[in-house]
Amino acid sequence: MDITKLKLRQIRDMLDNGQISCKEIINAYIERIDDLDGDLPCFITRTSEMALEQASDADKRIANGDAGELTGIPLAISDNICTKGVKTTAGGKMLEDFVPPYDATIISRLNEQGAVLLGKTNLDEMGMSGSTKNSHFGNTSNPYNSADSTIGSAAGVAAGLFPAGIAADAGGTMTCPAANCGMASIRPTYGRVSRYGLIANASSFDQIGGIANDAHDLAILLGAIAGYDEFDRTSSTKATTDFTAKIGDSLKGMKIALPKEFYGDMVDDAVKEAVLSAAKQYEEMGADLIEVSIPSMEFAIPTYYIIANAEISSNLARYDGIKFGYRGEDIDSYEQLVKRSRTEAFGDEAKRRILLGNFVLSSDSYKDYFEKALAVKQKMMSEFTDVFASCDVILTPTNTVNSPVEGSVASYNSIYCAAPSSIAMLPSITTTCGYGDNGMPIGMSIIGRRFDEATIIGVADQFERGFNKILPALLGGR
Amino acid sequence: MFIPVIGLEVHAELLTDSKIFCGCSAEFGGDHNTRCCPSCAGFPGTLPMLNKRAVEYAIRAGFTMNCDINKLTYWDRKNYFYPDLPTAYQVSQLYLPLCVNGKVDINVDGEGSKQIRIHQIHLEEDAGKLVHDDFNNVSLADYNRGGIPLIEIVTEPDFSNADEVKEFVEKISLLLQYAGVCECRMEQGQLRVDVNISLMRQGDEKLGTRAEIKNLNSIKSITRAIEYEIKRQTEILQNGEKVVQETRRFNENRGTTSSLRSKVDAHDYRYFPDPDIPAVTITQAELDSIREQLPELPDTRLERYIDEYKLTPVNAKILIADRAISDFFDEAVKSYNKPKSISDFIIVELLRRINLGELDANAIPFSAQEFARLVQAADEQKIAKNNAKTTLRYMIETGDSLDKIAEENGFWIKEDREKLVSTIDKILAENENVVAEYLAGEVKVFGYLMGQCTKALRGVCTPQSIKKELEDKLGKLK
Ligand SMILES: [Zn+2]
Repeated sequence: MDITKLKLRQIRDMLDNGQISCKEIINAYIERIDDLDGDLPCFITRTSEMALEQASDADKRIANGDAGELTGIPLAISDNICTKGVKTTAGGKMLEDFVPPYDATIISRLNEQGAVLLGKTNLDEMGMSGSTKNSHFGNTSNPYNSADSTIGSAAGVAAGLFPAGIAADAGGTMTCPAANCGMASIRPTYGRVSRYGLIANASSFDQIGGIANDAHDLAILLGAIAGYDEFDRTSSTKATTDFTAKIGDSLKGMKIALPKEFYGDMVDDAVKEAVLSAAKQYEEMGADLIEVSIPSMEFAIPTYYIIANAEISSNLARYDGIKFGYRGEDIDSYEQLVKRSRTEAFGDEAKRRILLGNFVLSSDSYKDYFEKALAVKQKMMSEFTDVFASCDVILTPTNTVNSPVEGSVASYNSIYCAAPSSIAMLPSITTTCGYGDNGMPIGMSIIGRRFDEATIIGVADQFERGFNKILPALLGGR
Repeated sequence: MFIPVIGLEVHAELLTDSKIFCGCSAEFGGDHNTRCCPSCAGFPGTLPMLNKRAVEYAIRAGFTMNCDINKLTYWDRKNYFYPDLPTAYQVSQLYLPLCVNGKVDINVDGEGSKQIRIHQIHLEEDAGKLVHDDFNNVSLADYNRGGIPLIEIVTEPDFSNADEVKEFVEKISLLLQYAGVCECRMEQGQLRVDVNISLMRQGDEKLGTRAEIKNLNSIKSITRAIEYEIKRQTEILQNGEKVVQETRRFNENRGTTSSLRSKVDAHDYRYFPDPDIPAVTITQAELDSIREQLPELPDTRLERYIDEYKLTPVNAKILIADRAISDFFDEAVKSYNKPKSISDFIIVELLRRINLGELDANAIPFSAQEFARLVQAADEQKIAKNNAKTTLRYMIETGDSLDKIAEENGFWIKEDREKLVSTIDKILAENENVVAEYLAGEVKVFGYLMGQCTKALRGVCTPQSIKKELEDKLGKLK
């Protein structure tokens, strides 16, 4: 059976109408991972045995007629999301042997629904960046372009190793690589999905979302994990809606805003062209395009990195070698224990960010850096609010370039388009709108009002219906 | 020539059932690391869940010290490495503390009343504890105490000697006990005091350089440390040298303070708002309801005892010094409205037993009503004074009821008139000579006759009725 391009809801149908058993489908995926993952690789830890047990439970549930949307659906989870009894490394040496004594809230929710976990996917240490260049476990390559280093959950969906992945985004760490892998990805509104059990990167940006083949699958995935959680007091008590509600709705009269800052010098022409041609197609579908402005975009990158690094420096301080994680050897004092453990286990990027974070929080620079970044964040939020007074959604590029990103500064700059919606805590969905000459997909992002994921999912879906996807090079695409 | 200028930071553990950010028990003690969970041990992925009761208790404490309450408050991270601090940051409040601008009046013998200003009271978490195993030459961390809610009461530098500080610490201990938010057992670390102290030359306007003495855990240590530090700094200044700004520790055995770290080594705590804890808004209605639930405070109670119950200020002060005793007194007065009798019996008998360690004021094994009945019985001479004391002792020792003890030991005086008359008749008949002397005007022999009668009539009638009957009979013989 060819499971290469199977969508989550196709698997649902096949399972529900008895075309195939969950055990068969899981075996097919396990085999496919055996065959293909070595070239990528996407996984840090595979949980095939557990997956087969979960599959037979799912088959029973399906037979008993009490299957939910995700019962028996194979998924992969980014390795910074805690799974009880299953090693959770957060991509670093520090937690290389860490086995959490508890499940993240989203894992409990997936387990209740009988989803099947194929394994834990590769990411940058603690989720810092979306390239796996900072992963202790090596790079994952983009199935469209092996020179592009990407995250396990994006490459895995693109290569058909699993129909959907769950990962966390902070300033584009999930949506950017997903776009480069030609996949759809949603980072919901901050607070929509519980962060409990997500190993913290930058707390005020971290948000769990998903990667799948299309927007409709993302809506189903999001429905399964969203909702208030008393263990995460920053999660919203707002009732979750049916995220598929607006799929198929006409776009006639919909106002789509294009903030000019997203179409300036910071973005490659090829990317702009692809997104603008998608905008034109929306216009043909009856939508009105309007030009707007988000002036504080000028400060989006420093604002993101000041706040993120400040939070990272504090979030990573708990890794002192005492209670969990890596512990240096031949220690004869507390100070030495902390120094040695952290020096030996943290990667360069983690160290760089800890230093930057400590700098912006130090009493000499707090006012000049951290306070100003918080002020820009407020300003950016109010600018978005103003823009949404005259539009329904905002259309932007996802990445600034259509090629692998080399070097730290370029990598920091590459989130220019993805960071603003993350800073403003708004929901954003990315989907493919074209391909570059090098074969790498180009993604566009649709940003929505707070908690209005249903609309951006509907808008993305409308475009996907008329778009011809190209298979990745790895699977015989061009 | 030098005037000491002293300010305090007082840490008080709140009496909540559970910790400030998780469900673990906040009770004192327990086997090592049995009262902690992934959250309060700072495990990756866990998040804080603010305990509303802790906020309420801190507000209560603020009210007892006449503070303004900030209706919008949030928490900051205070970042520093220490092995007893699981996350390497303490959640505290710097930028917008819960309570501000308070005042507490103290009375120092010979000085009269003085007002101490409270700069702020903020709510934070306690750290764990280190256990040093000198035998194996290792230090072990116990996180049972980690996450117990603390308030930190920060005063203005309004004290000028150790007596004032002692008065203040005793006064706020009482306030916190009455408010029901802290038991203030210093020996258990429930109340810990840091003292900031500097000397100012008479006539100067500028404060001198201060030293901070950390973690004083008894009134005696506080007094001794302040007195030593005043002496030390005076000597330095008299020698024309300069006081160094530093943190010092008090050595209890030697009664001296020694340097812990100088200002150069002082921590930069890199405070910033904790992104995991949403800001809390408190409504006026909530504040009103917390204020309404506040019990009568010691100052008001003292006035009531003196004005309404006509107790002496000395006795009134003794009673209010322990809320449990004062509550017991009030209850007892409710069922027997003779405040002076109750107060005397409590101060002379009950407190003596408590001070001897025979009884815990918080666990008196009989009700205030039962106690009031005993006092009343003694007042009305239904039980002899000495027997009443013995009864109290038995009530404490055996836990038996007043009735049972008085019955079994024959303490009840039954007022048997027939026996009274016949016994007196018999004694008068047996003492014809004495009676004759009395009738001849030798009135002092009355005492001898009275003595014979009370001895024979013990437990039968009260001394009053014996005296009256004896006088009547002798009168008739005249
Ligand atoms: Zn706990």
